[in-house]
Amino acid sequence: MEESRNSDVVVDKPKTSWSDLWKKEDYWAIWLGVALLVAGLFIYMPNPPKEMDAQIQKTNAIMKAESEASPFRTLAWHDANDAKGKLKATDGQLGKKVGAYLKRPAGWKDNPKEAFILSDGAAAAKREKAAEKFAAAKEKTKETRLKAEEAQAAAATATFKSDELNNSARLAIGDWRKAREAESKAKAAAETKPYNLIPGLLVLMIGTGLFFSFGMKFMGKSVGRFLAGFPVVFIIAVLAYFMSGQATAKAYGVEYVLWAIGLGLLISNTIGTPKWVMHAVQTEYYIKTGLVLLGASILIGKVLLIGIPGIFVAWIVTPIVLVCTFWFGQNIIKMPSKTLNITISADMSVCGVSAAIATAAACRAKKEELTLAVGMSVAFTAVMMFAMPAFIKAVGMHHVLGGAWMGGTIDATGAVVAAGAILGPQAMYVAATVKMIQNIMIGMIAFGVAAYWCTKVECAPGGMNLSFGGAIREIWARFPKFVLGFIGASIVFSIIYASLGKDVGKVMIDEGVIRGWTTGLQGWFFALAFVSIGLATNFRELGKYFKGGKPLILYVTGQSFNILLTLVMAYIMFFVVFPEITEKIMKM
Amino acid sequence: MGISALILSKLISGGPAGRPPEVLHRIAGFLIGILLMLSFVFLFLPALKNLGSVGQIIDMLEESGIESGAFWYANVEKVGEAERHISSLELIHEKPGISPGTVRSK
Repeated sequence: MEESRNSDVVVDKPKTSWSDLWKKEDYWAIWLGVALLVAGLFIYMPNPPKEMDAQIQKTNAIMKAESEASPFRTLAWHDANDAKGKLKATDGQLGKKVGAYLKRPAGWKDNPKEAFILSDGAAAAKREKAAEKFAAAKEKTKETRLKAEEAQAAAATATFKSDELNNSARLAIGDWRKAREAESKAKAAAETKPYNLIPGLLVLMIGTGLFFSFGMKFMGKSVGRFLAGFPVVFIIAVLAYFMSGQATAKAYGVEYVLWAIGLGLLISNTIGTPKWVMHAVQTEYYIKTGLVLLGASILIGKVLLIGIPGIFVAWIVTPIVLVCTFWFGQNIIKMPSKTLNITISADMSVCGVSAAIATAAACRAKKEELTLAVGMSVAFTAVMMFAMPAFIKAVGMHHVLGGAWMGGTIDATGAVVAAGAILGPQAMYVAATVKMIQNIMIGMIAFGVAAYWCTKVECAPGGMNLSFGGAIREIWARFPKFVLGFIGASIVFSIIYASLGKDVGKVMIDEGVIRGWTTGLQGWFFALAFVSIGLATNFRELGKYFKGGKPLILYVTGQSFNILLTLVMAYIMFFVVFPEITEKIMKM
Repeated sequence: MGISALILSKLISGGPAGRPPEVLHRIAGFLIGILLMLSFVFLFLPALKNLGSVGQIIDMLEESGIESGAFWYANVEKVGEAERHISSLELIHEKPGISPGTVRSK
């Protein structure tokens, strides 16, 4: 029975020996992940943007001087901030070349072909169509800029002491920012270039297949059979990205993981997954390697970005909700599976799909359990993305409070940003920052769950009688080793980030290695993993896990508690204990 | 039809291979699934736009290009912008922006 259970779990059964280092998937995930992270550092770190240090110094000096001179963010402050935002290591020549091979199918609305190919003629037609809108947007930006300059000059004449003049300057600058953003969107459309993504996707498919086949060879699996089946898994992953790129589906937040599982399930439960493809259906291998890459973007220094309120909203409420939901699942509704319970609890309380992936892998949850947790998260996220801003608007809630509330409760970061954007820039900035801080927590959660599982849940029979050394060996044997790669990547990248300083770190790590390299690869690996889950899952089996609706009860109860506790904590932090932070945010 | 059914029955797995009606039954299930997925994207989701202010919001999100479904912060462009704005408030004391040494500009 244990044997059959292990064939379905997200992480395999642990045994220890030195040969594990080259025979076990966990270690291969670490080796491959580390190799990619080192490659990323070599690609981006030697190629900083031109005059980066001087530019950062200059923009920081302007922003500091402007902040000291005015109670609101002036035009010069925004100009400097925009210039700083343009500094990206991904814009380097090598970075651009590499990025071209990691591209997903492009977004499309009515013409599916545009996901892969845009001809010269079609690009020209798009440019022509967008030209008029761009010209109008440019004009509007110019006009609003002039008005903002006038309003700012009036406020400056009163030495920024008139609240009325300051407020009208702030509003005029806000209008200019909106117009500028619209212009930048219109400009992108007016400068549409032709593309053909198929050669890049082919290179990525071959490269990824060969890359994973290294580990397959050492793990004693057939490389030939793996490579024969891999293109099918990869093509379904491409289709998942293709479907998620459709404009309407994208706006609703129907992300690639859902399409990857859906397409895989459809194939396996109708025409059947061909046996020769099953050799490339390597869920755990792809997931664990993707998680090691994800570890690099868990930059610990960012948790303090929004000060102590952020810590309380994201790092105090979240573990409380996680533990209480898990307890509720075990003791009140009696969830039949502990692994499903913790996967749903983490998914709902931390950050949705990414937390579900990391937790499921750390506690060896079954693939059906991960599928269920991801499905519920995506469905509830889509509902909350509309319902929460609507409620906040209806009751006239303060935008900082609303932003923090949504950031702490809506699962997916993209949906948090979308919900925040519905309210306004301040709400969006707070929501996105709180969510990012919560994202960073998954390293600790995954480690905690792995440690708890191997010490408390999966204790060996008679484990209580083991000596200290024996107990340590037992824990080590059961500990999912790839978690060490995941945590190690986080620690190393956090140190590099901190040693560079926040501005250079942002340009070189955030806007270089992470956004240009690891995020793209990690996305592809997760897509391959979710396709594999779908291809290996029987739909009827999935239904069994939903029996009695207990997972739904768990999610709804946990999320209700999360919504309530986050709101109370956000209110206390942003309005009772640190109102000056709220005030500062509102003056942005 | 006989040849294609025979080829398909060799390619697919998961049950007794061979009998054309069964193969066709599976293919029909697959095609229905594809149709359902396409209907979800092109009929159901657009129809939801008629619910209250959902349509307006969806149009705004489509226009803005925000990656609404992205689950990880590094996949969402706007998070970088939010980070820049919030970090400029200097709510905590951080190391200065420039780090001498490790990275040099060209």
